[in-house]
Amino acid sequence: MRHGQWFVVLGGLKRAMRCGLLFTILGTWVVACGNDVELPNAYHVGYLQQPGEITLSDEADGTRVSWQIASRDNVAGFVISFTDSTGSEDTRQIDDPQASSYLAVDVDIVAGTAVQVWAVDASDFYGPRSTSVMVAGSEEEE
Amino acid sequence: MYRIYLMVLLTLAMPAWAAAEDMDGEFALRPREVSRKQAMGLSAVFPGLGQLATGHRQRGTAMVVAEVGFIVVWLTSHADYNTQKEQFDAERVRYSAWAEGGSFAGADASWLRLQQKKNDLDGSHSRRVLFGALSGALYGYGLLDALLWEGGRMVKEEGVGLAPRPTGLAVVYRF
Repeated sequence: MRHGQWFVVLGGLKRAMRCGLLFTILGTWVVACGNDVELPNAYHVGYLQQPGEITLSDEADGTRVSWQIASRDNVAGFVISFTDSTGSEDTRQIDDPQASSYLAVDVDIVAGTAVQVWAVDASDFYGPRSTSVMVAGSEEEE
Repeated sequence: MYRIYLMVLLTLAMPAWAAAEDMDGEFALRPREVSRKQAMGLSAVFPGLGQLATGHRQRGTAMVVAEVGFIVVWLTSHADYNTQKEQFDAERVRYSAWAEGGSFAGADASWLRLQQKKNDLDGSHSRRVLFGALSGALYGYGLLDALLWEGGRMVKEEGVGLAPRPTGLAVVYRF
């Protein structure tokens, strides 16, 4: 009788052991999914706004590039880029955070030249570039 | 790692080696009893060995194979984690460097790489913790299984094994 009682106890222990193993696996899986390495702060997201509404207008002295920007926070100036059809890029920087246009007088702007504008902060970090605006060609040039 | 493999192979080979005796040129089998302490000792050396020694071949083999698999995945994941951690730290330094005189495009590309490496790192971390714990759990299960074994069972002398002969080694099939 005593031997039979021991057998029952051992059988219960075996079942408990298997249940314990299953709970260990499940518990470990939950614990294992935790992160132990964190990403740094994404400083570049939303730090400088992207200029938009880029327009080009011909003036007597040259071509005027105008733009709009949603927020001028962290802006120390702007960079205006002129890229010709060969891929050669010419840039001009203005250190005025309130600027909204630039008169290009010493830049060779021809049909097919792509113009982009982006903001820059005090540490010379460049914000996201605006979409490219192409200089339209005249009928004589074509 | 190779020491573990060697130890497992030697331990698996030893019972078959010792069980066969050469009597007047003929093979004879001598059944042995395995005590609970011996089974626990073998399970402490490597999970499944105690079960193999007590005649639970299927369970013992499954435990040995599972433990070896868990250890391999655990060590591989741990090595992957260390490599990916170095790459993650290097990319974090590059990302921080873009703040001074860099550009949004460069910082954004670096940020995307950083996120990818973070995902890889999390995967390796999860695998190494999971399989390390599984290895430990299986080790504990093997010990408890040997502890709760009723004991005194005769070893089943079946299957293929090696046996010493005057002329060298012989492959013996027991049935």
